[in-house]
Order: sequence, then C-alpha cells, then structure tokens
Amino acid sequence: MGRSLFLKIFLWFGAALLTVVVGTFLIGELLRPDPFHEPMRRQFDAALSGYAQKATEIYERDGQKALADYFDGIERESHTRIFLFDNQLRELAGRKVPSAAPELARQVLQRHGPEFGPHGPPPGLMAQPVTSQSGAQYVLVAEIMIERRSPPLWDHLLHLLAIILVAGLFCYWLARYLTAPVTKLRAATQEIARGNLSARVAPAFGNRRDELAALATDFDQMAEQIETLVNGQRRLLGDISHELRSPLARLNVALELARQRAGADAATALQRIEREAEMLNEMIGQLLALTRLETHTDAIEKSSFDLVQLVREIVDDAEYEARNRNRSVKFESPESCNILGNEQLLRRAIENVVRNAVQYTAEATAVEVKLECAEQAVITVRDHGPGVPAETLDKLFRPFYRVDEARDRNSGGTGLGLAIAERAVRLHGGTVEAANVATGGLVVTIILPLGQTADSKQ
Amino acid sequence: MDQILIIDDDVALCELVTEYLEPLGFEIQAVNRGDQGAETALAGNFSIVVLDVMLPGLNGFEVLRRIRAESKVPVLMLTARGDDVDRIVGLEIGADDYLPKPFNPRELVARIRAILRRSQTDDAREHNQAGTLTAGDVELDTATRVVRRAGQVVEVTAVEFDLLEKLLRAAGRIITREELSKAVLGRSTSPFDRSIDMHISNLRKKLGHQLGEIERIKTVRGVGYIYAAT
Repeated sequence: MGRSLFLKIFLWFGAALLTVVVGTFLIGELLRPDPFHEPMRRQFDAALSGYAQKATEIYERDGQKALADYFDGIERESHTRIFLFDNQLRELAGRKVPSAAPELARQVLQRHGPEFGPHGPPPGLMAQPVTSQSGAQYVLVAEIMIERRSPPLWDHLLHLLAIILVAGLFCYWLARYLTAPVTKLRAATQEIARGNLSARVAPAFGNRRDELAALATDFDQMAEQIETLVNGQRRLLGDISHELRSPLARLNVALELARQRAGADAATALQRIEREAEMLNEMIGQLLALTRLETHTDAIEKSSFDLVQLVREIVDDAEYEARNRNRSVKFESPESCNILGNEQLLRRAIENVVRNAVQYTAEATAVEVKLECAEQAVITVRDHGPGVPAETLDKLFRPFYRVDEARDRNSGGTGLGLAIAERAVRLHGGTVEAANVATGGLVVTIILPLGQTADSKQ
Repeated sequence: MDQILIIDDDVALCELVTEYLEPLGFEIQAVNRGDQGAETALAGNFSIVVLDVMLPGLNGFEVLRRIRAESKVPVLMLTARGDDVDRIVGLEIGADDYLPKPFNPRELVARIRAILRRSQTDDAREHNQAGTLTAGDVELDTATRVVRRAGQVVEVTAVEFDLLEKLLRAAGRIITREELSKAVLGRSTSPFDRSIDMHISNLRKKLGHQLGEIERIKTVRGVGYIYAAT
C-alpha cells in the first residue's frame, strides 16, 4: 500500500467515513434507550394500572373464581392474558402462568417498580406492583402480544453495505481526482527524460484551476526552458564544430601548397606543422564528443546489436594500425553477444581504449582483447606497456590527464580518449576501470549491462 | 581536361583548393551557394562535383538530391568529421564517396582521381560491353547500368552498381574489403573507414536482406563479403 497514493487516499478517506458511520451507529445503539420503552411503557402502564386496581378489588371482595372470570373477560376482549401474584408470589387466579412470570414478579417486588419481561419472541411480559385498598401487596403480570425486539442484525448489515458502497464510490472519485493529474505529470516527465523535449502537459488539464493545474503550468514552462537551452546548446556545438574546422581545412591545403614550393630545409618544419594541425583536429573532435556526453545533449538512442561484431571490427582496424608498428591485437570472444545500447558511443569508447593499448604496448607484443558475455558484458583490454603508477589509476579517466607529460604528448595522445570512454560507458550504466598487471602492462576492464529482457538474451 | 565543380561556402578554401588542383591538370569552377551549385552542376559538363555538406541556403543534401534527380555526375561529399549520419545520408542519396573535413589535399586528389578513373571505365564499358549479369533474382545490365530484382527496376548509385557487379561476378566466393575498395572506390581501405560497409548496407536494404532462405550478402568477419550463390 505504501506504493500507491491512490490507495492511500481511498483507504484513509474510506476508513474515516466508515469510522464516523459505525461510531455514530454504535453510540446511538448503546446510549439510546429502547424505542419501545417510553411511549409504549406509559401506554401499558396506564392500561395495566386500571386492570391492577380492579383485579385486587375483585379478588379481595369476591375471591379466586371471580378474579379468574375477570381475567378471562379481559383475555377475550383485548387478547391480553393477565395474572395476579400476591407478595408470596402465588398465582391467585388459579391459572397456568408463563415460566418467566414468577421471576418477573419477584423483580417487581424487589425493585418496587414496573418491569418488562425478557426479550424474545412474543408474547413479552409486563409487570406492575399494586397495592390494594386494603394495603396488601400484589403484582400484576400481563402478557403482551408485541414483539420487543431489537432490529435484526440483517437489517444492520444491509445498511452498512449500502453505506460502504456509496462511501466507496465517493472515495474512488476523490482518489482519482487527486491522482490522475499526478499520473499525467509523470508521463510528461518521462517523455522529457527520454529526450522528447517538446512534451507538454497543461492542455491535458483542461479547465482545472487548482494547485495541481498550477503545477502543470509550471512544468510546461520548465520544459520550454529546457528545450530552448538544449536546442541552443546543440546548435552551438554544431556551429563550434564547423567554425573550428574551417580554418583547419584551409590550413591543410595551404600547408600542402607550401610544401610544394618550399625547399628541403623547410620539410621538417612543415612536417611538424602538419602533425600539430592533426592534433588540433583530433582534440576538437574529442572535445566536442566529450561535451556532448557531459551535457547529455544527444538523447541517447539505443538499439539492439551484436557487441562481438562491434569489437571485432574495432580490433581488425586496430590490428591494421598495430601491424604498421610491429605490434598486434588478439581477440577472444563468444560467438555473439546481444546488447542494447548506442552503437556509436560504444564504438568510440571501446575504440579509444583499444587504440590506447596499441599505442603503449611494447614492440613485438600483442594487445589482448577479451569479451565475456554472461549477466553483463565484460571487455578486458590488456597491453604489455609500462603500466601506470598505482596512485594515478583512477585519474586516468579524467579529461586531459596525462601520466607522463613528455611521453604522452609525443605519442600523439590528446588526453581525452579515456575520458570519453568513461563517460560513454557510464551513460550506459556500466563501469570502466584500469589496473596494473602483475607481469607488466595495463588492463582496462569495461563492464556493460546487456540491457535486454531475459527472452531476448542469446 | 577534366572539369571539377566545387560547391563550398568557404571562399578562401575554394581559392586554396583551386590553387592546389589546377597545376595537376584540372579545370576548376567554384560556387559558394547551394542553389547556384545545383544549377551550375546540371547546366555544365563536369567530370566530378565536390560538394560541402554544410551550406547556407539550400543545404548540401538538398543540392545532392537536385543533382541526382537529373544527372549521374559523380559527387564527392565533404562532410563534418565524426558525424556518421552525414555520411550515411549522403551515400544513400547517391554520393559516390565522402571525405571528412579537414582533409589532406593529397587525399582529396587521390579520391578525385579514383572516381574519375572509375567513371571513365564505366563509360568505356557502356560502349563496349553489352551484357547482362544474372544471379538469382537479380539482373544487372552492364550496358544500360540498370539493376532489376524480380523484374522490377532497383535504383542504385554508380558506386553501388559497381559494387554489386563485383559481388555478382564473384558470387559464391569471398571478396575482401580491400579488393572491393580498390576496385570500386579506387583506394585501399584505411582503418576506421566504413564506406564499403555502408554501401553494402545500402545494397542490402535495396535488394532485400534475404535471398530465399539465406542471407543475400553475407559478411565474412575480418575478411570481406560474399554474395550468395544460387
């Protein structure tokens, strides 16, 4: 229940309603006197008083037989059976008494007041004390043909059911009214998180004017801001890319022209210029990639593809480069490994790590790339290079970080490759770590969740 | 003398490239706007068009579409580096090859020459070889350079045609990416160059991935491709 606001509202309100209803009902039942008591009682009291006096007179004057006749007469006329007891609880008309009558009479004598007989099916009993004109104590007991009953349980249950139904309906509407807008807001929020920045929610709120509708309007304003910001940034990045590369493009052609016209002395210098221009270009590309990743400017689109295929392509290309420098790349993997992810980003990330390894591995050694595919994909890239000082292992993935300034700058690295790899992997919910191998070299481990449901895994 | 049309809004770059290419025996014309570029390309008699993707006004792809609508003149695209989308879209619309900016001018020359060489042999073949190449449901007419699949004409670019021809001639045998690249693009493969793969992907899309029960064009990992033998 903790997970549903709807349920909370529904149950709390329902409980409140029911408590009030049941409480009221119970209190009423407990405190309220029997509805039969007062008015009925008075009526009967009055009637019985009349009979009572008369009965004692007849008995004292005319005896048992007369009394019996009197009672019979009453019984015939008003269908009420009457009995008279003396203060020793003896029935005086010589008739058969109902089983509860003597006890009732005793109570009357004890309490000196009228009493009602026990509950139950009719006939019920009513009794009154009587003092005759001669001063003797008697008790008159009458059998009443009225049901003295409390309303049956069944009625109560029906009532309760009706109340629960109506209350239930109201609770449901209330809960819906309050939580439906929240659901709509959630849907819009998720759309934006997915990258659809044009999602808006206020129109779906119609004419509603309460706090939730105000929240919806605020949400839309925020979404508008975000959309403008992100689109602005995307455009900016695109422009930067173009603007920074145009001079480089011109530089390249001018360089070639210079080469053609310059003498042999200039050759080395021009070579240098070419290298630096290439470095600039590389850095621009990497910086843009890194910025895109950092600001999540690209909505990360994912598709299903074979990771083994991707890594193999990267390895093949890296091998080509490696062979030129008398190094090689080995690859070990299962047949295939389906993963859900952004192919471009992952390609870049893995490429950077592998090329890095090729760069630093010692001559005539092989970079070992392994892919394991179980719950997650684990890619290890191991080189036979000089490794990295232990305390700097986690700094490797920081932008522009260099282990050894001189060495790294000369080998042409930009210091951004691993930073990009780390960001890209992290965007996929994965991790990347570097460690020194005991026998020499560095091993970089990339762990990627496969992102597939159980059935689509191979 | 081969005439080259350059469509690029970077005036200084156009001047530099012209300065570089002219001594090599080319006649260069440079246009700085997309709409003008398309017009000029269609009106003139160029051996190749070098087209920048990022153009003001009519964007590069639109220009390419307009040119392709009426002409088969070879087009070399200049794309933004690192943006695969540009490349894929361009090749799909019908560019023959691409070169990311900033480029090495020697590379530019190499690609221009490769494309020119290929289109010359194509022309030659058109006149000399009348012949149809058939394999399975695909029919390749080398004279008219038309491809049919199950009788229906399939629109392919010049590069795709050459690629398909090579594959069909070697149907049932593996062709390496190196062979394909040299024969069709006029250059060796370089690492991280995905052009051949993209052209193959386009062919797969256009002809259908399957040939009956099996894959039409199968990738042989680390080696090349093989067209299913029937």
